Amino acid sequence: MATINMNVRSDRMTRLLPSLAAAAVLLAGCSAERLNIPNFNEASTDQPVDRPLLQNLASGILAEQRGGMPGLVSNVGIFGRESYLYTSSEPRNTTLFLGTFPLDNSGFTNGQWDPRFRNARNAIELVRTANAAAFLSDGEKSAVQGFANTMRALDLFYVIATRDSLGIPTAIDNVTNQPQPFVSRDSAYRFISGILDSAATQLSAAGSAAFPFTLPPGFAGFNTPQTFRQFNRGLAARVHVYRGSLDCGSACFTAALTALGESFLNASAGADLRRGVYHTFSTAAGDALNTLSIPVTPDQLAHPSIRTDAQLQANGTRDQRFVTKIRTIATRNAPGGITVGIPTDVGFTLYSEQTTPLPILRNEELILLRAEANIGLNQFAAALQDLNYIRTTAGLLPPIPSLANRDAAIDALLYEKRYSLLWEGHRWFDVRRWGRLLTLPLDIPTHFRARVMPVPQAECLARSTLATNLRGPGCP
Amino acid sequence: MSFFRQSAVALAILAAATTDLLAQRRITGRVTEEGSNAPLVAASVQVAGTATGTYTDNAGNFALQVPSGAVTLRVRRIGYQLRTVVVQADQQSVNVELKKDVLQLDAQVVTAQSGTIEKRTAATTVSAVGAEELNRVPAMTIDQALQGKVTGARINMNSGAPGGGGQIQIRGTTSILGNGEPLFVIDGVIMSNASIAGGANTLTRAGAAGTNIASVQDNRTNRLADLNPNEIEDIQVLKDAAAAALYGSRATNGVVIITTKRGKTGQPRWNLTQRAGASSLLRGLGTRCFADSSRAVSAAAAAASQAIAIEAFNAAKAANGGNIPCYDHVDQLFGETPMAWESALNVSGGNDNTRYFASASRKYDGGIAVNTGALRDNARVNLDQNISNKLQARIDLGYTRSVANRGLSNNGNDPNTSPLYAFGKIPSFLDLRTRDAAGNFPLNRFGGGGAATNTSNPFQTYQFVTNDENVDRFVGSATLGWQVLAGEVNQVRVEYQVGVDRFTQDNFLYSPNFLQYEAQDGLPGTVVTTNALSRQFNQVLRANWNFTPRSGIASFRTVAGVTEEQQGLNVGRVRAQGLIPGVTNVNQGQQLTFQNQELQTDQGLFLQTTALAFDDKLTLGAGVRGDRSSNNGDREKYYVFPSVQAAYRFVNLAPGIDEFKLLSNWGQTGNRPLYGQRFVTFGNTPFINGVNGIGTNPVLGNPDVRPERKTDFVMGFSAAGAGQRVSIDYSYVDTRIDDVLFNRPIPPTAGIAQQIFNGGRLRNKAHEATVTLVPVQRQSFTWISRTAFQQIRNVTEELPIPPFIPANTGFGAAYGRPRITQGVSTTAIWGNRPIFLDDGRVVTRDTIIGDAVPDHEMFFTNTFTVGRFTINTQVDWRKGGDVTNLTQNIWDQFQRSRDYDAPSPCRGQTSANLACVRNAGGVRTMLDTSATATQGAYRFSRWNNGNDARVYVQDGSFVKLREVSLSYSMPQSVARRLLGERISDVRLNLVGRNLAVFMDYWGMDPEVTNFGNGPIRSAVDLAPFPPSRQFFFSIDVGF
Repeated sequence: MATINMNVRSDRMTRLLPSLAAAAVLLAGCSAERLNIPNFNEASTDQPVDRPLLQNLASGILAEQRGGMPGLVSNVGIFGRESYLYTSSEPRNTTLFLGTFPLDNSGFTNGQWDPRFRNARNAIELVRTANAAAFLSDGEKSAVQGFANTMRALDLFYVIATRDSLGIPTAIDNVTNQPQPFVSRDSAYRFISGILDSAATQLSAAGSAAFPFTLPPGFAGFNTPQTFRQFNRGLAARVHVYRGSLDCGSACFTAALTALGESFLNASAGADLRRGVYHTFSTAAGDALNTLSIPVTPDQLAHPSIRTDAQLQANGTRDQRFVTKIRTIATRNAPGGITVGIPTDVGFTLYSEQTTPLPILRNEELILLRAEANIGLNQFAAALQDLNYIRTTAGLLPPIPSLANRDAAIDALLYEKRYSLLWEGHRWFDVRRWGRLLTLPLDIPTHFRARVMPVPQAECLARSTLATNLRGPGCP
Repeated sequence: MSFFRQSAVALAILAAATTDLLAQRRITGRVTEEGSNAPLVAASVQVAGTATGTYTDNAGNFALQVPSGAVTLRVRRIGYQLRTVVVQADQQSVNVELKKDVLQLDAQVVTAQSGTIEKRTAATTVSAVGAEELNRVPAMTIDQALQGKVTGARINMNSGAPGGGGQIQIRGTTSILGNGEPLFVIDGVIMSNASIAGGANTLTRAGAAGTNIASVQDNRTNRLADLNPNEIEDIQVLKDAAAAALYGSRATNGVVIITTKRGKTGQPRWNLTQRAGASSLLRGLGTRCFADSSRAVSAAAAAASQAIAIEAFNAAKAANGGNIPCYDHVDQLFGETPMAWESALNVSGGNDNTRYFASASRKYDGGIAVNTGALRDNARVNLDQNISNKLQARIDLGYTRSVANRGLSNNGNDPNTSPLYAFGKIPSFLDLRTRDAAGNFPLNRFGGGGAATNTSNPFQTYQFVTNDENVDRFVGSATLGWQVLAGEVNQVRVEYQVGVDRFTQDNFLYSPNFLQYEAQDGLPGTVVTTNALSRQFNQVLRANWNFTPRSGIASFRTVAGVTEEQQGLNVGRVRAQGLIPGVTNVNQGQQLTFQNQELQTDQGLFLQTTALAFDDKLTLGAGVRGDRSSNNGDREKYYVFPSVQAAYRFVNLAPGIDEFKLLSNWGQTGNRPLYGQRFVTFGNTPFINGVNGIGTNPVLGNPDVRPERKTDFVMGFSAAGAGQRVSIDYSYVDTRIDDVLFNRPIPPTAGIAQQIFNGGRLRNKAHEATVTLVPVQRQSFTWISRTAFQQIRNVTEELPIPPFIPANTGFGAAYGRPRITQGVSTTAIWGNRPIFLDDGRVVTRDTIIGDAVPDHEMFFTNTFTVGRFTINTQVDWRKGGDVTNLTQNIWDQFQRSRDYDAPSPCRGQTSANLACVRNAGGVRTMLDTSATATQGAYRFSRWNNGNDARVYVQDGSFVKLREVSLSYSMPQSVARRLLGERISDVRLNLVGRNLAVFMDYWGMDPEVTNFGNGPIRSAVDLAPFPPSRQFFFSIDVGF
């Protein structure tokens, strides 16, 4: 075997090698300053707290909540046979909502989940941030707490209202992100009611302090802690009424009446039924449009039963609410391919412009909530007064002489709620709560009436390896 | 002290040695082709063991200053075997004959960072594509030109739209969330292959309808499209991790080394190429013609309403003299046969101290639809200057202007502006093209559920919509080389190179107010401008040390160096709607603006040694690279990527086997996280009341992210024999990727949905083989045949999270899409299918129904040379590889497919044939088995609203006649008589690309994808721009 003679380095080379080594050592130690590159596109969570940051966080909560509303109204509208979404290139907006059982938990009918919980977390983070802000007065801190807790309650309300008997997790661990257990429907409503009540206390405690941020124009008249509290009490009444109709009974109806007394309910003659709190939209760069509006989504159509079921005014024209909210259009069919789809020739006029505001809570609903609470307490005379107030002023319909019994009262109430709060995200919840889901019409025999929206597949999968008590209800 | 100031100090320290000038003498010679005696132009003549060398001139002559005493010359030219000749001390001239290297055994392959080595001795597998192969048949872009030429790569074009847009993936899926594209290096400069969306989905409404700046369904162009194949000397693809390891944490997907042409000493040599040709539709979709009115009306009603269908049908029939008309809208809209042409001129020359290469070219490809096309201008100057006999400088400057008018295509939603998307819904009896006396296009009421503003007339759209992409690009580098030592034993060269790649991309999309669909949103008129600025900068300082001990048993090549790379990309977009008629200024409409900005820096250190021993029979190598990046969680930490390689050559192993080489290598590379993944940030919400909102980010960043790590183990052999008539190369590659970046799902009820983290393992295995045969080799006729084979399997071996659907790869279980699942193919297509249970029930399950990766692919290249004629063909065969055919799904849904009326396979079938049974709410229900059941209705009803996705997940096997060329090389005497005495050669060519495709696949092209460039290759055929075929006549003149 040959031996390799390695002893051949020239003198020059022996001089070079150490130089090369020295160069390498020098370069290895080179500075890393150019490796510190910030994120140009999103704000770091690690930054000093000041008033503008609080404004951004509060605006984020409002924008996130606004972002979920058109989807809620559209989905609940389809389930509640108020509306259709006839996107011709996406027949699943019809088939998966009305004709495919069980409901799709992976894309179309699983909404009102991630962003709502994210926003609940945003509310918790806002309180934590404000509490640590030395520049805020105690009153201002209380105001922030009251605002955040009210918004958090509202987000959770939409989640439990769409999931109903499945229940939902209400707690959020914003430190470890550990999954929290699902709680029953009544526990969820009780929890929501509880944070609304603490929010009310915090808003009261704010006294004359102002919010340390500006609320959008949709909150005009409700943008100080004390006026915002009227909005909070209205929401509390809604939650009490829901609980009353479900698992709680008269105690909750009574609580609802108390809360309504502190809300902005106004049933005096000539009261503005539209007064309330709204989500507002804008065409300004970066802002959002109302995606329920005719120009943005012309495929949002109305269910023909709205016309069939509308009662007549004395002069023979239909319910004034029908007249102002519904228009006739050229017949559109559900997209569907082989079978020619379900036709409709009615559309909405409710959200006529790109930026038409979307109501969150308004006087008309408060009056009807009072009627509903009174019906729950079997106080039919009081209920009748409110129902007739709405019937005659909003519907221009003849008053109902009397309410024969609880069933008749509920029927009457549901009619008024249907037309007064048409396509504002209520009907499906209302008929379900009062056990009248079967009154919803089926367009074709193979359709069905959805009871609850499913827990999303992503939630199911992420919990699939957890202990049984932490798994998602209804998960396949 | 800054990074490179320190480097300069290091360089100064290096200044330790000098060499004396040796006495010189001059020799001359001539290089010719063996057999024909034809002079060989531009052959390289180099004094072995030195940097001294030159090139032959137009007559094959050279002259060279060499040291006194006997010297060894190494003479080589691309396509010929290397020849070594000894010139004795008293010899003044030498004649060298070179043999054709048909098996390319003597080809040079590049190595990362350290020049080239002979393919014969290489211990890694590298695919090389030379200028000749690249330019034989012109392609729209380099990606297209490389299809079928790189073993181990899968190259897809996103669609057939002019201007390109494609993806190159080497040896399977290597990442889920990270980068999936190879690293492109042109003359040492790392170049951007970004694909930037132009905002076309503002009109098509695919995905988030123009609100997402990175919209992936925009039929994007990757910026490899800016390269000019005429300027390229060769392209080599470093596939093994061991080969690419010196590119460290950016090399996981392979490294594509592009080398442009350089000047060669001698008189200026000019090359002029003029091409002229035409494009035409390769394959449309055909259409269903209606035989009777009831079928016509029922089909039309599905896309509008009964009343509209009847009215339109009656009108169409009446206008056609009572017969039902039939229009093939795809053939009509994409039926243009536009001119394509290219002019290219380059010159190269120089003297011993200065060498230059300069080129300028312009290429235009007309699109097969009106108002589409692509124009590219390129200019390049490459300069080599000897400053002294020790110092050399190199300056390369390249400029590109690309202009593409791309039309609209791919996925859509209402208002159906993507043509094939709309045509699937429009009945064939409707004439959409004929304009009325006032010049207005017919109104189309089909596709939007009856509302005309909900749909479009694509003929009108293509006539008036502008979708332009303009790129101005500058790639340049400056290199200073210092030959520190040039002895026979030690040669040391130190090089510093700084490179810049900078481009702007401007997209302008304008849809005028009067278009049919513009009224839909109440804001007629849309204009979208996208402005992107990409800046890349890299610098490298490296030292090469070649050590050849006098004993001659072994030689060593060592390279060490340090690099820094910086890449910035800033994309801004303004969208305006509701314009004043005729105005295209975004100020005049309701605006939305978007911006995304990225910047990243990488720094690396590398060292590699290769030893060649025993007459170059044994090759051993080892290398290491340390990398740190601004994208890593720990920015200070160097991640280390080692590699080793070995090869042994047996010479004359057995009779008939001249060469037999075994090779094996092992190496690691990285794929660093993407920009942004390490940051924990607030998420952005829309503005509200003029204030921007922030909140919890649904995807939580991870301050601990680190590079994905790929480990390759490669084994292979090469054999050549039968008197240089046969060669075989084979390699087997076992790849594992660890520390894969995933999104860990968090139950959304926590308010956060996902967090990025490293974990899990992907595993890829590939077989690659190339066989070159020379069945006939005579003076008057040669036939060279090359066959390549590749097979890739990719599996998700370890998945630390539950199965998930990767983003932007498909449209749900109803249509089939990838679903990353432990233990199964990463590219498996999952979708719904009915499972028939023994108890008679039927359930629908989301399960594996296909795979996007082909069973195997083969590429056949044959070259026949008969006298002065050369015929070359390239045929590609792909077996398997499933495509999600959503185009057919739409065309079936609206009863437009060409084969709709063909007999259903279920005619006369019973429930025993499960292909004729579907799941209707858990109950087995027969499809239509009557004697009138049709194929189209069968497919759509079997698909059953997505309950059986198998119907539209289809086999994408094909045989494509990719390239054919016929060229004639004119005798020099004739050429000189015709064109003058200076002419050295003239070649006439007749070439064609994509001439024919043979397949059972229903669509136009199984190689398309709706979602452009992403790490997971999903083949989704969804209303793409149709593919075209091209013919060219060209003339090449050298003088």
